[in-house]
Parts: sequence; structure tokens; C-alpha cells
Amino acid sequence: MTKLILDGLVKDYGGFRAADNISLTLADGEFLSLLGPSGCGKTTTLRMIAGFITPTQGRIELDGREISSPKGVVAPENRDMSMIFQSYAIWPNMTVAQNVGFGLRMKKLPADQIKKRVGEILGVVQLDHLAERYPSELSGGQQQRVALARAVAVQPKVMLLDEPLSNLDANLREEMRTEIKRMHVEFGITTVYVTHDQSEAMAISDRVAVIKAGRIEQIDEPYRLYARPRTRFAAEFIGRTNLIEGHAKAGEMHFEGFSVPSAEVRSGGVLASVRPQNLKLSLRGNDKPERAEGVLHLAARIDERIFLGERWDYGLALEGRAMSLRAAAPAEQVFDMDAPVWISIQESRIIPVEGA
Amino acid sequence: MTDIANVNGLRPLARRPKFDWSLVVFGLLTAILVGLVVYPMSRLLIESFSDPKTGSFTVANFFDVARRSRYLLAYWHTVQLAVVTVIMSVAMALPMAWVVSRTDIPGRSLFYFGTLGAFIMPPFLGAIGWILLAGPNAGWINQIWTSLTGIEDPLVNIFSLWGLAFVIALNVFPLIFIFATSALDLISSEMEEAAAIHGAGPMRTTWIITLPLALPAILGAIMLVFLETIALYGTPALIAIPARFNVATTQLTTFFEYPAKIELAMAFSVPLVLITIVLLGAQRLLLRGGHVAVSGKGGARTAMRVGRWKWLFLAHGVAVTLLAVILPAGILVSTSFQIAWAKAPVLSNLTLDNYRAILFEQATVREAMFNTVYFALASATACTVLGFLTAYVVIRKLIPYSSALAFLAVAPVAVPGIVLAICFYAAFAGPPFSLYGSSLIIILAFITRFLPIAFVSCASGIRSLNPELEEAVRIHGGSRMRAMVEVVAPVLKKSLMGVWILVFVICSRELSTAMFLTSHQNRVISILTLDMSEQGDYETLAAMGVVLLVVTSTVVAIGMRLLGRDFMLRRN
Ligand SMILES: Nc1ncnc2c1ncn2[C@@H]1O[C@H](COP(=O)(O)OP(=O)(O)OP(=O)(O)O)[C@@H](O)[C@H]1O
Ligand SMILES: [Mg+2]
Repeated sequence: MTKLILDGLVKDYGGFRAADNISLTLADGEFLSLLGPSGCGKTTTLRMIAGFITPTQGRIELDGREISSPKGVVAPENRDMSMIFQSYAIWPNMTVAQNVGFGLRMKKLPADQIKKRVGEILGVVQLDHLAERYPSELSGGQQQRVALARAVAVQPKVMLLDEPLSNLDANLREEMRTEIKRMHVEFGITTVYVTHDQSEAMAISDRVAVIKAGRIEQIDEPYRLYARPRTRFAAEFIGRTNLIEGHAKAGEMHFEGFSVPSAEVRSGGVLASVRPQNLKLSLRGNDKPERAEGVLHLAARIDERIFLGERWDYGLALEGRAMSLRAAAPAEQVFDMDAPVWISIQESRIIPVEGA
Repeated sequence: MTDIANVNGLRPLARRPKFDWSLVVFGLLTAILVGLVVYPMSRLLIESFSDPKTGSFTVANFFDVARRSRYLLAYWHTVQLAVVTVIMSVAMALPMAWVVSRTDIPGRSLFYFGTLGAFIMPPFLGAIGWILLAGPNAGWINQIWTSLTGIEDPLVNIFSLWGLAFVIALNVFPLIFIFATSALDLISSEMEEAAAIHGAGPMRTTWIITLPLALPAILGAIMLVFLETIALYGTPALIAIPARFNVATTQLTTFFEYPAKIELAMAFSVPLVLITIVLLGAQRLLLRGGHVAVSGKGGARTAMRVGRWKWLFLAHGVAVTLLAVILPAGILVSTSFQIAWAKAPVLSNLTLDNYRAILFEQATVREAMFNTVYFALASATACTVLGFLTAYVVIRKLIPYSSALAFLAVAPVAVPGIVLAICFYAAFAGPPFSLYGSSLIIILAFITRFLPIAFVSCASGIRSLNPELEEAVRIHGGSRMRAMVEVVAPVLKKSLMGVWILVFVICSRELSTAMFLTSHQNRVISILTLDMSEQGDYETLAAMGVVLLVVTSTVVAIGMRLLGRDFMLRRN
């Protein structure tokens, strides 16, 4: 059973804090993504886990053993981990089979066992016919498979991936993502995956840690991250959202013209997030909409409309208020410009978030 | 497929932490660099400032040197020599470089051959060739002149400052050629075309646009030629000593005549080192500025039409090739098969005895040839390994203050070979090392002298390598050393081979660094050449030279085959 714990990791470069108080715990076989914009410290964190970087503060523990602290780190080669690099880092002077067998050779396995196991792994990634080729003769996708095979061949305790798909074109990217997920399911290796692509992180991970400027903003399962973002940054980074300002008092959030009960909110100014997908539109005649428990109705007009092929993206101006919202509607739901509509929102979908 | 996950038993094999040998290796490396660079060079400073009897601090050595007009004259001759050499080599190289880089003149690729030939011709062999060609009495040019005109006075005399400068220029002009072509290659023709549109003809454009743009690089090369010339020992020893004028390097050797005055030799060397440091610094500044001037990125170039002038340029290139390579090599080859060198190579004058003598009879020559190859092999190998390791440590910042190692590795460029030889003599010849006359002292000196070349080339190779390749080794269970041995070195195989071949070739002909360090047991071909030339034994000498030329050219040819045509002529 593998258990990886990062405890209050900090990395300073001169006066600059690249990673700030990173704490997380990975369960055995868990697939966790570090997600955040460029320069937020994902690679720094991953390389601290790998042992290439000594933390300024904090510690890393693997199966109860401290492997990193400011006092020293267990060398990368002694950590029982493996890694897939952004550049693939396939050794150009070795054949595919030699690349994949390298880690096993380092473990001093007998040659015949190495051969057998390399054959099996190459079978899994469908590269057995290329075993004796050199990397320069492979396509980008094939190189990526070699990197994947090399990383799983040693059955590491932890596998680390640093934006492994960013050098691939769009089609291959999806294919390789599926491949990585399949390998994870098959071998159950505890995995930390770095990406700045939220859809990639959502599709592949058990949990996602959203990082901003070196700090973890939120760690959650993908759906919860989408449905219940805790901070403004998380809400905006995971898909699109509407942010509305208001204030909170006595378990209620008050916005311009409507109020929503909310158990968790603190009193004072409040910011709330509503996903465009949670705004249901219907044509507004003279009649009132049907009342339902916990559903909010707001009168609005279509202010802008963009057809995105699979759905509509409507910009809505609320009647009598200086507020505008965006809604995502199915392709069949066509409204003209300036058409009067009702917006219906489940109150529980209006999520208070932290952050200015 | 789940069975694969179970073909397991891997995790229980989890390793004991391995000992990281790399730290030991890097520590050793630092110690070696200090021993090879800091220790001998510090002797230069220490001995030049100390009293030979008491060992106490003094500046008297410098006064002793400065008081003797003969010593000052040597420096004056050296400066004259260097200036004349620079002018001559620019005149040789610049037109050729321009032709190769900018024009459509047919046959210009032959110029590469001429330059490469001059580059691989050992300087002392070129000098011997020219002694045979242009010696005042029996030299071939003068013999032919006399027989044609009946005039007894020689037409040319190589034993003069002009002759010496000429011979040196024929050997060093490739430096200017290399720098000038690589600068000219960077200038886009758009700049030239811009001038042409405003009414300047092609020749005028070249004068006012092209050459000024390449000027920093050319000036940089000129400084290198200047430095080469003032540091050169072999050619002056062969030509200036019989011509009875002294230059700084030949004067230096007189301090070693009995009783040896090392402290004076050291004091006398200090200006050579200072000039070298100043000029190298200036050269770096120039080249830094130069890159800005020639960074014309739209670097498409169209060859310039030269019209009728092309015959002139072609003739110039052919003449330089003839003078630098074909004539001296030809006379060496023909002499090596002759009984008497000054007589015509008619059938009765031809023989294979010279070769039999050097290969089977004369033990001194055989030993010198063996030593030359042995020292070159050992030095090239050690130099490449050392340069590679140092560059790796420096580029990957593996130990604290690793940039200090970089400084150590390039520091020997500041010391002319003959001065380095004195330093090594002072540092290792006597007790406690007592290495005088051994193979080791020469190999160590060669390693030190050529470490900068190896280091710089290796560093640029390593810099081009993605560090993730090494990190991948480590995260998959290999140590740093393993990353170096199994990935970095194999991936850089070609550039390492290039370094090795380059160092091998220059070691095989190095003379000045071996001076003062050789006794009868560890002589090399270059040193033996001096002795044999003094004895007038030109036939055997020529045979030995031809063997060296064949070995060198073979190695270079192999290198070109493996690494591409221009691997020797690339500007580092
Ligand atoms: N060796 C270093 N010295 C100084 N600053 C560094 C160093 N390495 C990283 N940084 C800085 O730390 C910050 C985080 O870097 P990091 O590489 O972890 O970002 P990242 O999240 O992986 O970004 P990307 O998505 O672009 O790869 C960056 O602002 C970077 O400039
Ligand atoms: Mg990164």
C-alpha cells in the first residue's frame, strides 16, 4: 500500500515563492492532477516529489518514510518512482526495448526476466513490433507510448507525469489520455499528473488540485470541483461561470432583486458562482412562470447570441437591473435577439466563492 | 491483461539506497584541475617574484630581464614578426574567405581543401619544406633561379624575419579564413542589395558594406594570429636561430642553458602571458559586439557575380594553396625518397633507405614516432574525458562554485605553450615528483594545454542537451554517473569524437609544450625535427615528416568521414 504525503511544501527561488505551503495526501492507487495556469508551480511541486528539488520548507513522506525535507532528499534514483517528461526524454541512443527495460536493469533483474517483461509491457502499449527501433524512427505518439511503457515497466510506487500530452496534436492527445487512464486502471499505480488543461484533468483524475501562484486553491473530485468551486479562481478556471456580487446576512445571500438561502456563507460581502449550464431559459409571455420550491425566476432579455454548433451561448440582460448573465442552452432552443425570457435557476446551484 | 500486473515480485526488490559515486568523481576532478592548472601556473608567479638563492620575495628578476638590451630586442623582434605575419595572413585568407562565402566563382570549394591542408600541416614541417625550397644557397627556388639567369645571388632567403613571417602566415591563415567565412556567412545579401540599389557597384559594396560588417570577427581572428605568432617556438627555432636573430620564444630557451635560470625565464615570460590575457579579453569583447552587427536574420544569400575578376581570385586561392600545402608537402615527399636533397630527383638519386632507416634502423626516430602517437592518444583521451566531465559538472551546476571549475578549465589558454612548459618544468620536473624526462610529464602538459578546447566544445554539446534525458535516468533508478556514461556521452558521441580527433591531431605536432620537458627518453617527432634540422639530416627528417603527415591526414580523413567535412574548420 502506497501513501504519499506532502506536508507544507515551500520552494523559494531567491525572493520568489514558486510553491507555497503545498499539502496533500495521496491514497494508494489514486490518480491526482495538479492543475493551474503556466508558472503556478506545478512542475516545481512535481520535481520536489521526484527528488530533483530540495524543498525550502515542509516535508514529503512515502509509506511513512521521510524522503524530502530542507535537510536533505532521498536521491531520485532511490525513490521507487518513475516519471514521464514533457519532452518524453526517450534516450535516443537506446532502442525502444532498451529504453523500456532500463529501469528493470537498474533493479538488477536477470536479463531473461527483463526481456519477458519488456515484451509484455510493449504489448500493452501496442509497440511490440517496434521493440528494436530507435526513437528517432518513431512518431511523437509512439515516443509517448515508449515513455509510458518505460515508466510503468518498473512498477513504481508513484508515477509522475509533467504535461505529457502538451506536445501532441489534438487527436493523439485524446487517444493518449485514454491510454494513460487505461494503464492506470490496469496497474493501479499511484499517480501525480501535471497539466494546465482543465478538461484533461477532469477526464483523467480521481481528484484535482487547483493551484494558483504556488498555492492549492482547492482539491476535489472533478465533478465537485465543477459543481461546488470554493474560490473564484477555481470557479473560473474549471469551465465558464457567472460571478455575481451581493452581501450575506443570517444564512441568506442577497443580490440585486433576489435572495438565496445558504447555510455555509459568512456575513458580509459575497461573491457567488452560477454555471451557464444551470440557467434554464423559457420564453416569457404575460403569464408568470410556474412556481417551484427552491427555484428562482428572473426576467431577462436576450442581449447577445452565439451559436457554437452544439449549443447556444446567450448573453442575458436582466430586466430593470444592471446585471447580465450568460446561459448555455441546447441547440434546439432558439431565441431571437431581444426576446423576453424567464431564467430559472435552482437556488442550490448558486455557490458562494471566496476571493475578490 | 491483468496477469501482467501480477508478474510482479518487483516491489520486494526495492533497493537499498545506492552510494552516489559521482560526488567522489567530482571531488577528484576538482583536485586534478587544481593540480594541472593552479599548481604549475602559480609557479610562474611565485618563481618570477622570488630570489633563486634565498627564496624571498624580490622584483630583481624583472629588473635583470629589463636591463639586458638583448632580451628587449627579442620582444621587439617578436612584435615585428607578429605584425608582418598578421598582414601576410590577412592578405592570404581574406580574399579566399570572401570568394567562398559570397561569390559564384567556380572551383571555390577547392579553397576549403587548401585551408584544411594548411591547417593540418604541422608548422615545423611547413618550415622544413620552405627551408628546402627557399634556403639561400641550395634551396630549390634559388637553384632554379641561378640556373635560369646565371645570377649567383639568391632570389629568396627564408632565413630572415620576412621569410619567417611568410612561413608562419602560410600556417596560421586558416584561422582568419574560418572566422571571416563564418562572419560573412551571417550577413544577409539584403544588406548588400540595399547598397546596390543605391548605386554602389559590387566591389564598392563589398568594401563599404560587407567587410565592415565582418570586421569584428576578422579583428578577433587577427588577434588570435598575433597570439599564435608570439607564442610559436618551432618555426622560429628552425628559421630565426640560423638567421641569427632572436625572438621572445627562442630567447626563452637560452635561460635553460647551463646554469639554468628558471627565475629569469619566468620573469621573461610574464609579459607574454599578459599580452595574451589582454588580447584574448579584447577579442571576446569584439566578438560580442560583432554578433550584434551581423545578426542579419533574413540570412538568405545570393552569390555575387564577379565577372572577369574571377580569374584573379582563383589564381590567388590556387597560389596560396600551392605555397601553403602543395609545394612544402611535395618537396618533403620528394626529399624523403632522395639520397641527397639538394640534387635533382633523378633515378640515380632515388632511394627507400630513408624510410628503412627511420622505420627499422634509427631507434631515436622510431621511439620518437612511437612517443608521438602514444602521447597524442593518451592526451586526446584524457583531455576529452576531463573536458567532458568538467563541462558536465559546470553546465549542470553539480557542485557548489562549479563556475570556478569552468575558469580553471579555460585558464590555460592564457599561457603560451612554451611558458606552460616552463611552469610544468618548475612544478613537476624536480622532487618530489621527479617527472623530468618521463612520458607522464609530457602527457600532463598536453592535457593541460588543450583542456580549454575540449572543455569548450564539450560544454556547447552538453548545453544543447535537454536535462530531462538525465533526469529520466535518475528517476528510473540510475545514478548520475550512469546518466553520464549511458546517455550523455553516447548521445554526444559525435562531438566527443570530434574533440578527440582535434586534440589528437594538435598533440601529434605540438612542440612548444614539450620543450624543456624532454630528455632523450621521451622525445617526440616535433622535438626531434629541431635536432635533425640542426644536423642537416633533411632526407631522414623528410621521411619522418611524411609518416607524420600520413598519420595525421588519415585521422582527419576518418574524422571527416564520420563527422562531416567541416568538423576541423568549425569556429569554436
Ligand atoms: N530555477 C528557478 N529559478 C528561479 N525561478 C524559477 C526556477 N524554476 C522555476 N522558477 C519559477 O517558479 C515558477 C513556477 O515554475 P514552474 O516550472 O513550477 O511552473 P509550471 O506551473 O510548471 O508552469 P508551466 O505550465 O509553464 O510549465 C515560475 O514563475 C518560474 O519562473
Ligand atoms: Mg511546467
